[in-house]
Amino acid sequence: MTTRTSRFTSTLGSMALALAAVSALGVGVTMALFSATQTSGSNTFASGTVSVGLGSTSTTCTVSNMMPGDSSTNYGSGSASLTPCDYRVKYTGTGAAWLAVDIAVNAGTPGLYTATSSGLQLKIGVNGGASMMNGTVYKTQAGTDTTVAAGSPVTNLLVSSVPASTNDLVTFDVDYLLPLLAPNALQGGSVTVTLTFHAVQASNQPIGACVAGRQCSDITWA
Amino acid sequence: MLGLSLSPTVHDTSALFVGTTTPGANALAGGSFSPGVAPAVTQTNRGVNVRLSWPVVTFSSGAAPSYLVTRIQQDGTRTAVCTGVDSPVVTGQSVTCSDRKPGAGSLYVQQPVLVVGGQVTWSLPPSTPA
Repeated sequence: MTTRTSRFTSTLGSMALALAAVSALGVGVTMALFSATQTSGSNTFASGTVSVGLGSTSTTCTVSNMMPGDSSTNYGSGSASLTPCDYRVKYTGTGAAWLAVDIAVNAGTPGLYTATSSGLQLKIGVNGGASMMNGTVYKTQAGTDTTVAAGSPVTNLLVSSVPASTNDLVTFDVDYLLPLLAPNALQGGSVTVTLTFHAVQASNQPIGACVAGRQCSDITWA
Repeated sequence: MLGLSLSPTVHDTSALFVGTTTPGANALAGGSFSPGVAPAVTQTNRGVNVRLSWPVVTFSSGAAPSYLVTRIQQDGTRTAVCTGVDSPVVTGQSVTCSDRKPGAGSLYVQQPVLVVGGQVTWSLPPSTPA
């Protein structure tokens, strides 16, 4: 599934909304025509597109009836007997783009994820590499391990320090472990982990101090 | 539009093109015991021994729970029983074991537990003494 949005903002103050209205007519295709009716001649802009699509038909991964000690094959500890959740995402835009993922962990009642070492642990990696989430933490842009709180999405985790090109494929791996220390209170618990993949144009957007695998705030994402 | 006049300075504006996919959702859930309350123990005299039995308890993953059985003597002393060669045996929908040295008027409780790698993990609260 692919959705595509455009954002057109202006530094010309009150012109912003009007510009956005004009751009909305053309961003869905590869050509946007902006015309002036008063003092200037016509202006023609050929715009690129920034869009991402899922490379597989399965977008939902369900793991049920976990017990303490259960883990997916690549977690690195535990039973290593369960199947990881993998997603393949293709960048389908025409212009170079930065890719990022947002992670939202929403606990059920009771919550299987407790943001502690005794609840569900998650490893979310990219292309088999370093984890963007490791256990219960992610890294800020400065590299500080920060706990992922249930109900508070972590946004803009940079996928790569190299902008994506058309048809670049990215694989996201979600591995998990329910520790042996999981308390009885977690029996029958549940959690939903939602990954949202997004891209933004790389042109005129330097990477700044952003590092792949960490939250990136030097890039304007929306 | 609406009186907007684009001037050559329009190239100074900033435009961001953004794309977003349908999310990938992962639903993970822990298993549970059934029934959710440990069944009470039934005791039957067999000579000098006591035969203990209770309905089987299952775990939703298919893992077979183990059972910790405790004798409660009239003075309140608690002793683990049904261990070693006398460990509980599951036959169909019933679990049985024997206590070889019961005290008069003793009561028993059993507690279903999951054992992983020799370690007790999840359990149900012990049954009501009976």
